[in-house]
Amino acid sequence: MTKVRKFVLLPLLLVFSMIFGVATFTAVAETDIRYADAPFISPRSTSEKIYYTNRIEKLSNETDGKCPRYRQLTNMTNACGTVAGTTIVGFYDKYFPNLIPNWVSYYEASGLYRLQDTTYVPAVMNELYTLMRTNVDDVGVSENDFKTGLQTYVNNRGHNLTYTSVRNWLGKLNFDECKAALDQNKVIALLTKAGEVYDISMYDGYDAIDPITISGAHIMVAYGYYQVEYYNANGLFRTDTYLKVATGRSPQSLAYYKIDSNNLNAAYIVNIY
Amino acid sequence: MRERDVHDLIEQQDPEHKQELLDKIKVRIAEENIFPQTQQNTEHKPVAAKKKNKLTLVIASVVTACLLCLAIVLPVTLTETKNRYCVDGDYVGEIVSYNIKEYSEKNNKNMLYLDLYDSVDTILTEFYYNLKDRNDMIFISEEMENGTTGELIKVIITDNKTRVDVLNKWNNCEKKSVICGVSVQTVKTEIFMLATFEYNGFRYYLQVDNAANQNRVTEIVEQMLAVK
Repeated sequence: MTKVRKFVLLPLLLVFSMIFGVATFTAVAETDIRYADAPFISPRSTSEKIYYTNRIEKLSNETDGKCPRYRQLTNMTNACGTVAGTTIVGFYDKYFPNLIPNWVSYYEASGLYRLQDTTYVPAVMNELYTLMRTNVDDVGVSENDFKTGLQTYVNNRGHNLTYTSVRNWLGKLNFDECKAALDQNKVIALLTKAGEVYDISMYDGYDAIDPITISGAHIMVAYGYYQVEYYNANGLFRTDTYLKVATGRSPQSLAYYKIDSNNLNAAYIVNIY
Repeated sequence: MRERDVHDLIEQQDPEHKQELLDKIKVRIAEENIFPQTQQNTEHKPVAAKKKNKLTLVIASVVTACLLCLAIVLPVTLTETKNRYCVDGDYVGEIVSYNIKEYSEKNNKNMLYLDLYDSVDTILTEFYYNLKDRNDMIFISEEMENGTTGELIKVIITDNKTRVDVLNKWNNCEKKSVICGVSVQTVKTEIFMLATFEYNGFRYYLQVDNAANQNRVTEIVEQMLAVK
């Protein structure tokens, strides 16, 4: 091998090894992440207020009927994976009624999803809790246990399930892919590190943004998106883009997740058919 | 008489001895005068000291009694009036089979409630309690869904000494009004309506999503206060 080739190939090989090593390490580290009970912390001080002279909702859409707002059962611990899985099952039950036997997950008159009952939804939760091996190897669930458990439940009901990642190699959410999936009435499972979601209240002349800190790794279900532009006398001064999420918690069952949050472990379009 | 005898005795002396005797007598008188003075001091000091000691004792007794009273009463009163701020992690919630009306009647709480139990499609009641004491209610939450209109009404009740982090959103209720004699604060956003008021030792937080009309939250407050 000539010296020139050596000088070119060796550094390339080194860089490739480094990237591959980092990627492998990252993948291994992420599979070790456990999703468990994470307190939701609301700040005591008043919200951030964004005053504007004009406000434009550039993008806004939700899945049909929004999303079920299920919450964890009392007899369960570290069950955010279970609740997210049940939420996804409840969402698709509208289209495949045997996913939750003997129960209709939505109101036929409005198409909106029902709050959970005390029999049929808990039955799904209990089954998923076991299928996902919650608290078996460690607290909560791993990403793999969450995905495998949910897939097994769906398969056992005679249906198929696919996961499509919408997180790029830099760890960022691919918003365009998310938007396309949500427009096609597919929900997205978000697996996050500790971070924030938001409660947005829209008033006359300003929006109030209340951050809610999720203090540990958590799994949520995205069912919509929302992008807003704020203007003042100087023109456009701020643009915020969110996914609308079902948190799996009560009383803050619905919230907004900023797409540029730097706490995403994984995100999957969940398609049941 | 004795003084006269002494005087005669002095006068009977010759002048040289008379002066010597007088000097002795003066010395003696001076010595004797000391004792009457010290005796007087001794006699006055016990009386003053006794009075002072008595006063001190009385004061000390009163102070001690006051301190004792405070030591007993203060902790009780402070405990009763102490406000608390609860965050997620301090409490846990569970879905319960009873509604607010039933809970209030069973526990003699005299809470207000929204009597739409026969009108709505779904009711979900959750009881949130102190992790350290299951009988210590942090708040009770009741959601009522109208499946046809999509209207969702949420009623949350705490006692008036408890603040909860998830209820900070109601700090935005800035519009004040009086409904059925009760001061109520409300706010309307594009998505929902909020109201909060205090009545009979409890604080009420209301949220209405997909409201049927612009005055819906006020109507709900009126309906709740009508059962008082």
